[in-house]
Amino acid sequence: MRKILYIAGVLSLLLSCSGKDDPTAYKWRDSWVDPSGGKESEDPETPGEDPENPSTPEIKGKPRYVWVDAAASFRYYANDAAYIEEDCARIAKMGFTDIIVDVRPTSGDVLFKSAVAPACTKVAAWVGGNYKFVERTATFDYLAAFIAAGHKAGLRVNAAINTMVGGYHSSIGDVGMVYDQPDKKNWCAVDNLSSGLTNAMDDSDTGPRFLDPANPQVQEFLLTLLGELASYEGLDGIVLDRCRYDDYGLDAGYTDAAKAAFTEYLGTEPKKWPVIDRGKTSLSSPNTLERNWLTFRCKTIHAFVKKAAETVHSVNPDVRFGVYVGAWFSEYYTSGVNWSSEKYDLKANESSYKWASDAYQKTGFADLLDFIFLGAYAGTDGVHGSWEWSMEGFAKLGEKRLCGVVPFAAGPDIGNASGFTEGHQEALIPDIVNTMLSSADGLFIFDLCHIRMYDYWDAFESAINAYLNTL
Amino acid sequence: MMLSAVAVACTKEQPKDDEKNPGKDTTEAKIELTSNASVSVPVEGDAVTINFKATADWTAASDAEWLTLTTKSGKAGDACSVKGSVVKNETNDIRTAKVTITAGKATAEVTVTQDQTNALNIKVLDYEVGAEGGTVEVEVEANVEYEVTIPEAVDWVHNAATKGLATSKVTLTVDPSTDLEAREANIKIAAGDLSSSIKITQAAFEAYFDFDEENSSIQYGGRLTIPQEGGTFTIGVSTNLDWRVHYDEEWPPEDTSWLEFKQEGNTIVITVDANEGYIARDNWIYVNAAEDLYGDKFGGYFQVYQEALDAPVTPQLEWSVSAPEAIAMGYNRLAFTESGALLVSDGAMIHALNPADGGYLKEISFDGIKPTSICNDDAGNVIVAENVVADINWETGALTSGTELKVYCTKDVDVAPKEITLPNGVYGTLGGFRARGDLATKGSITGVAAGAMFWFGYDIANYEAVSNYYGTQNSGPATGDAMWVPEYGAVLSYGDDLHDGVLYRSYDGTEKVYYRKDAYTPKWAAEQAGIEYEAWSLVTEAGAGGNENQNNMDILDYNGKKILAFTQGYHFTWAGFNADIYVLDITDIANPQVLATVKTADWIKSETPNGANSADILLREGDGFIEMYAIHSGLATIAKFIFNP
Repeated sequence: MRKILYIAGVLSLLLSCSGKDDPTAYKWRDSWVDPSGGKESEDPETPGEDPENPSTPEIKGKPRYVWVDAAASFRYYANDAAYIEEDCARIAKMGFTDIIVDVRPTSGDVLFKSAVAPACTKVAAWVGGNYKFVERTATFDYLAAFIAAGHKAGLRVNAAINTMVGGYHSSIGDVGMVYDQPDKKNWCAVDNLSSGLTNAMDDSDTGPRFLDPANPQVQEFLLTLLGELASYEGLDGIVLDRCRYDDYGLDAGYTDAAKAAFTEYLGTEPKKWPVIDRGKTSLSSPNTLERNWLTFRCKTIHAFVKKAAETVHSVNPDVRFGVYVGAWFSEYYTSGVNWSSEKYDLKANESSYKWASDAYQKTGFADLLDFIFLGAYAGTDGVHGSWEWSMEGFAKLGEKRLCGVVPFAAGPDIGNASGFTEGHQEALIPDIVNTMLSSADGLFIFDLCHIRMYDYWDAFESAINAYLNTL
Repeated sequence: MMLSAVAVACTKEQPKDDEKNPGKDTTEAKIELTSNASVSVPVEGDAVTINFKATADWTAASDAEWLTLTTKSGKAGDACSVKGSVVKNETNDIRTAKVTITAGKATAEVTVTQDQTNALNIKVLDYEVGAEGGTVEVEVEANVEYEVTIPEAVDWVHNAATKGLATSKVTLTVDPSTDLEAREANIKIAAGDLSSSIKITQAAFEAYFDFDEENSSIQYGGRLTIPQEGGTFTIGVSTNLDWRVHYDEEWPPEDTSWLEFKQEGNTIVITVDANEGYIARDNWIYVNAAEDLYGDKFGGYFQVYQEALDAPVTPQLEWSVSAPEAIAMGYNRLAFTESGALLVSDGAMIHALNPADGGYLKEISFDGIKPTSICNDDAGNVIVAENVVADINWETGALTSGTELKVYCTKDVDVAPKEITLPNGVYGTLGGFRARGDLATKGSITGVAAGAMFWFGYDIANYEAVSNYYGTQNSGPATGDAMWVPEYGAVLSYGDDLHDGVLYRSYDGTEKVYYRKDAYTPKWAAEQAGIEYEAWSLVTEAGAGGNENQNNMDILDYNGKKILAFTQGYHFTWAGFNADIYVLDITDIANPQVLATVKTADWIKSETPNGANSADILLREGDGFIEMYAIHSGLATIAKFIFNP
């Protein structure tokens, strides 16, 4: 078992965070927060890197993560383990230290061995300008192939799952567990739509079919899945994606299970159900019931993340556990997620957020994690800044809101954010790399498919090399 | 609860038989219990068996009706047993019975203890607490240990001790409430399978924030009128909230030097300097109470409006009439005919009024021409034009409609007008046409392109746009705000040529009169050409703020002077229904002088707004004086003034 050095967080954080951080309470502490970029220290029982067993590659400097979305790269990897090996080598050459491999696309089917979840055999994706299903006929273990290839290339391999999803409804057909198993309909989200309270299975809009975070059966299923994942030989980490409420934001979460749990939370039936009027995208002055509902949703997610962390670590204490979230904290309450530290004094620091009650503060789940990824998805004109919707601002505010309780990596969506959609942003990449690595504990890039699409391989290699040369 | 009664098998101290009765069996009878001397029975009842050894025949008896012995006697032996049964204990008390076994003179006693039926009784289930909070005492009658559970979301009710025993009081403390709605909490008190819930209803917090009676009318958007000489003024506040007074923090006023305010206890103290100018001035003040809890729900905002010195000239009101019923109050504009009639348009028709007294003369119709705009040029031509909607194809940048503007010009409304066709290159709704000079020879036409934040202008010669016109893509001084409709602004050439400069006033966030000399060079063109852009310069702040929807203006060249007049329009209900009129000498555009101000009350006939939001003003030369006609649509009044500058 590795022990990781922790360097005390920035002093200024103490001003915004209450309570003392106890770094020893967190098993996984990269050297991320070491400004000198020091190497991980090893305990005497597991000295150094074993050249014969490259499962624990060392890193220099702060870690650099690149996300590998399943759907976007499915046509390359689904049936070709050699392509995986080739790309891992290219990723390592660019200077990334970690890959985060999506092994549960939004369909909810999985790309790893599971006794409880269906195997992913096809995903809907854009290929050559056409939207179609990409089939997987190969039988090799997708995740194991990444672990082997990643470690061979000197990368750490982390697996990501789309969490609160169970199917995908697309214009070319439906795919996923909830479509294959109709009895799972009551696992699905219920949203307040123009058609009234509508089960996700009855929603005609295309997109992921979200599951109900408040449903104990859903949670139990996902925990089983995470246990299976954690048992993977050599896996370095697990990251939850879409561990939140349905894309409908404030209109999401109105299942019977949620109502029962919310009733227990209140001690009485909610006087209004759905709690929030349909179609609202924000609540500047929520009433008491609305505040309780917002808190309840975050509490539900918090409870799940806590159980998920415990499950993962009970299976394999050496597997890091983390979550990806959007860094736009000021809006993220609409997704039922409070990713800040519970030590963060929300009321004092974010007084304009009327939804941020004392109870809401306690739902912050950062303290439960080994690492966290902040999507700093600003556009090309927003690398620098102090506030949200600039990459730097996202990172700085993230640092403040996390109170140093967990290392965080931050970075942009280099394919979908404003200004990135047409490519040709090579010149911006050094600034992005430097800015993120100076303002966050690590660099996070979404997604490998955009590096391929816009041929940013050399740009990242050059930028990361330049960074490493400063160490 | 289990009682630990002890049953004892015993023999009494007696003389030995052989000492008293020699020859008889003198062996002493004995009873030895082989099962427990105390037996516990559940509340539901059960069978009871007592095992013992007896050296003589034995009998057994129970002292309680609820314990019935089915075996009451037996022979001596080593495996004797008394059997019995216990019925359910319906009482709320533990009960005990004694079974006495007798063998000869020996006796043994066994105690049977039965649990009670649990009870949890709360007589009062509903409690009401004031918003100020307090305590709730709940009388609980219980014969078992119970637990008090407060739901997680109810963080405003507290219980120091969550367990109780027997008859007791549960004391709950209730926090003061800041909730504007009554709130309820269901508190569960439970013991095993028994539970009961009490409901606490806390009254809503009745927050209030009110200006004193004298100032109550200004609390939400009203006007505090301060005399020209200034002074100190107070507004009392009645409230149970913390509050503060401040300027708009995002858009603070430009000039705060003349006005100070502070909070003294529950009073707003406002100190205003004397106004030594001819233009009234104003700033808006905001008050917020407990905004961390309620946002902007409590507080207020009001305009501090300070009157000015009396201007040097006082226009004389010739007449003022309520608008005739035939004229629809809406988009109203004024013109004057060569034949001596005052024209009022209402968007659909033109109406002729007698300029001597405002009397209605007749309705005038131009065949096929919708009179959205009417006005005069300086030569007395009546200009009539319809608004034009110019759509744009955003991909190509080309207009898909509205590429031409038609303006009609005539001196005699009974004669077919001359048509002037103007090429258009800007999108939006184009209207608000104004004219200067003489369109028959040399003049200019200006207007507003609403939605595009632009004004447009044309130099005209011989009823045609000159070829070098360049006025259709110029932005105003406040480019960030679009005028929603053309009539929300007025753009007017300073002279008969756009090269003389342009005056601009609109509902665009400034509501002031601006001037720009180089009207021919749009900002984008200056930037493209790399030349310094000449910014708009402020002519006057007169009439700025609070009353800006309609801002028409007119210029008259009179005795070598340029006289500018403009009206205030109608803006919601803020600060009353302002119909003030300002007259300035702008001969030296760099040094404009206020000549006159006409207050709303000096000419308006109606005090009841009708919802229309339009106003116009017309200057024309009279016989040794200036005639000034004005219409205020929202207050349905038309008037004539005369003055000599």
